[in-house]
Amino acid sequence: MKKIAVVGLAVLATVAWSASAFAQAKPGGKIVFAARQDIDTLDPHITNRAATRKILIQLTDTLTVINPKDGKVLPGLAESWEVARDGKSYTFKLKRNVKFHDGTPFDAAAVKATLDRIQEPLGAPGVARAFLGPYDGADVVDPNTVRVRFKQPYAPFLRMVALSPLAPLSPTAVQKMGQDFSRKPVGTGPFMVKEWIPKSHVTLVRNPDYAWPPSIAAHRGPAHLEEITWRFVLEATTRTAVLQTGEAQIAEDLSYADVAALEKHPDVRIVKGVPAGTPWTIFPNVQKFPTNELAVRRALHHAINKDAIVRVVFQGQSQAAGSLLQPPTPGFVAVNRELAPYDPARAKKILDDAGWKPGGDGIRVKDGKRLEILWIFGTNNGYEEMAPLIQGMAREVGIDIQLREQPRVQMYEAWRKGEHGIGELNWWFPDPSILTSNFHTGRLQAFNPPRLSDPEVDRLLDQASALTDEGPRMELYKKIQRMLVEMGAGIGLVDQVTIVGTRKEVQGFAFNVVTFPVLYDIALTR
Amino acid sequence: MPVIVGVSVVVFSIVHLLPGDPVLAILSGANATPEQERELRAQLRLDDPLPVQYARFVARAAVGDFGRSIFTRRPVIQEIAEQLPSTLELAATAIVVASVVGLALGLLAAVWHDTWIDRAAMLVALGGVSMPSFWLGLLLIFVFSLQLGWLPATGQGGVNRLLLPAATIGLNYSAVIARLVRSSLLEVLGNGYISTARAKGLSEWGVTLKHALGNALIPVTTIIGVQLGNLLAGTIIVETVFSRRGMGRLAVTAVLDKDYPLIQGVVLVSALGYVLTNLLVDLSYSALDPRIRHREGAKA
Repeated sequence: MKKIAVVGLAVLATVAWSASAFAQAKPGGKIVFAARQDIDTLDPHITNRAATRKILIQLTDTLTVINPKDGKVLPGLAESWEVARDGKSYTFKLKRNVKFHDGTPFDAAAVKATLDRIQEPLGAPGVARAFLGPYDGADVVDPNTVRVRFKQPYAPFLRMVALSPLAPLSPTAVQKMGQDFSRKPVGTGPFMVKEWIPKSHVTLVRNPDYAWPPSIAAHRGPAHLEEITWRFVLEATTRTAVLQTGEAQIAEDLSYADVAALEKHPDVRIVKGVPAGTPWTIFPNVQKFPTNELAVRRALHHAINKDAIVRVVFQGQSQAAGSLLQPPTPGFVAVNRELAPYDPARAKKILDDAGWKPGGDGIRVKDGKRLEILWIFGTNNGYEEMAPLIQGMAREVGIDIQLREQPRVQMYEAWRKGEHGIGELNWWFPDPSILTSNFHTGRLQAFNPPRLSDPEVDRLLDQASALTDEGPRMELYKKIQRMLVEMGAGIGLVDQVTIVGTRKEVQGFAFNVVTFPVLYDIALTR
Repeated sequence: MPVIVGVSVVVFSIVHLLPGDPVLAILSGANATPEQERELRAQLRLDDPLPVQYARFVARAAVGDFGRSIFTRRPVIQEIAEQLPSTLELAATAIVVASVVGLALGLLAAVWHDTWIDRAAMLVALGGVSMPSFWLGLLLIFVFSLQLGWLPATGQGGVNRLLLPAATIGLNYSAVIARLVRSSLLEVLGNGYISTARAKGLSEWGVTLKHALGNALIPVTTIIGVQLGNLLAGTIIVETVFSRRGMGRLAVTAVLDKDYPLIQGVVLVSALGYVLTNLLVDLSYSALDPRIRHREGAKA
């Protein structure tokens, strides 16, 4: 009798446990999301801020989606697609019975109207135009089939079209709303904009008709949450505080220093993600003395102890960069440990061999010139704690890095004029073609912080962005990473990592491929 | 008026002469071609010579049109109108906090001057002046939101969300007011007419409150007026720490983005606010001080 009672209790307990684990996450509820940055506009074609795009992915669906686990391209609003043999056109078969928030049916004409709009002068050309590449036009083959044409072969397109700036928008809403469209964009996504109070918050409400999530989503049908208040909480310490008090259920970009304490908090969970893109990276200017010397660039790379930066600046929350791409980016290959390990002795030898001899103050001198490099770093660009650390490491081998802080806008101007000795840049990007932005001659007027203009690098980058066959394409990018690190054109420091805190009752939080928060699957346990 | 015109010239020159290009700020991240850049520059009419741009700016500003924000493309005046009430609400509450706390501390210190109460009150005041507002703000969040759970840390709406940010700014300024109230009260208390009042047999509190305080308040009013400008500047940090909307947040974004029309609008509206406050302070003298009132009456 006693035995039976015990077994019975155990069974009861098991049932109760599984009920609490699965059944308590109920549809409904509201959350506050504490966001790090303010937004400029909600028009996907005008913005170039990640802050805006994090909201847009809740409002829109894309033709393709990228599985954040393996970087593979999967169907989204497009059920299937064909790539022309010459790589210059893509034909998408579209899902049926999909509607925009305003009731307009989603079809091939809507896709064409959206892509055409990106080419219009809407004011600032945002990232959308860059993502669309050498777009030539789109043809409505039939209501559910659209063909997108390019002037040149454009291999990154299948990943670019997975990003919110290229997401289909309601053509009727675009027509009707005019300027107001940038306040309340109309897509097909699981949430809709209710209101935007500038400098305060954006309120999103559930789209009750939503029934077309991508296959990687954890559930079907409308989102669980009824409402999301997307609050701009600029100060990191304040974001930590509102997470602790429960004023916000999710807080993004927590300070590395707060993570250890929050992990011990009984009501908070820490979620970490590594975005595709490029690591925290510095670029020696290859056109300016003294970084125009290969020896100086190589020595600098060997002098930097990345693990120490991870420990001191990132409080152990990330890892030393393996290359000029982040690990989840397709084509990533870890070359840094082999080609440029931390080795101050080697750095010194390289400089000795190149004729740089230590002067009276320990800084090396050659032909009467000191080994001085000017690093112009941007205000609030995330490098301000790394810079002095690297300065100290460089000094150990006899390189004098001088630090000058400038607002980002002025930093970019300095790059264009080539006034910097070191520039800094990092991206969230799902495709290795981001290397073109950083190193191609064609981008000298845009970014290209190392001011690199190398015919062989250009040729390989062009070839890779035209190859639609993924296998050989990624092999090319591996080769390019190796070349660039050997040339010392970029020094990957530490991998970017995204740290988000959620309250314990938040279930189903997920990152997309560039670690933007996906809120569709979130449910609250009560 | 001359102040406003002067400010307009200075602001216009500063934003245009400082390095940094709004077109590049907009395009950062967009990987734009030089041709797209030219297109945008022309669209924003930033390719005209500076005097032409200034003339256009003044002509429009005279009728209350500051143009459109480069980033949000909405009228600057609308952007400001959305943010101003929040800042005014914060500033007004902060002044009340500063005045009440400042007066109380100053009174205590003056009446019991050279006792431990005086020294304690002045120590509190010293603390208030010395603590930067971002630190004080975080401290208040820590104590009242995290530890005690009495007040929310962030956001808008309702007195409970206003108290912490207003206290942060208010406590900073209450210190200045407290010291001034104390010294000016002590000075007034030394006057002959106070001795007369005492001789009449009035209590010390009666003397202080009824006879001395009114006169002691005149310099205090001036300082409150002057501080109002600083107080508006203080909202920049406090609005960020408590994530409230407002002019401070607007100003910071505008400057970082090099959003010319928005910077000009924000600065001009702030200058206007400053001028109006000073006017109010001047007018309040005659209410507080019969001498001023009567002198003007005699002139007329």
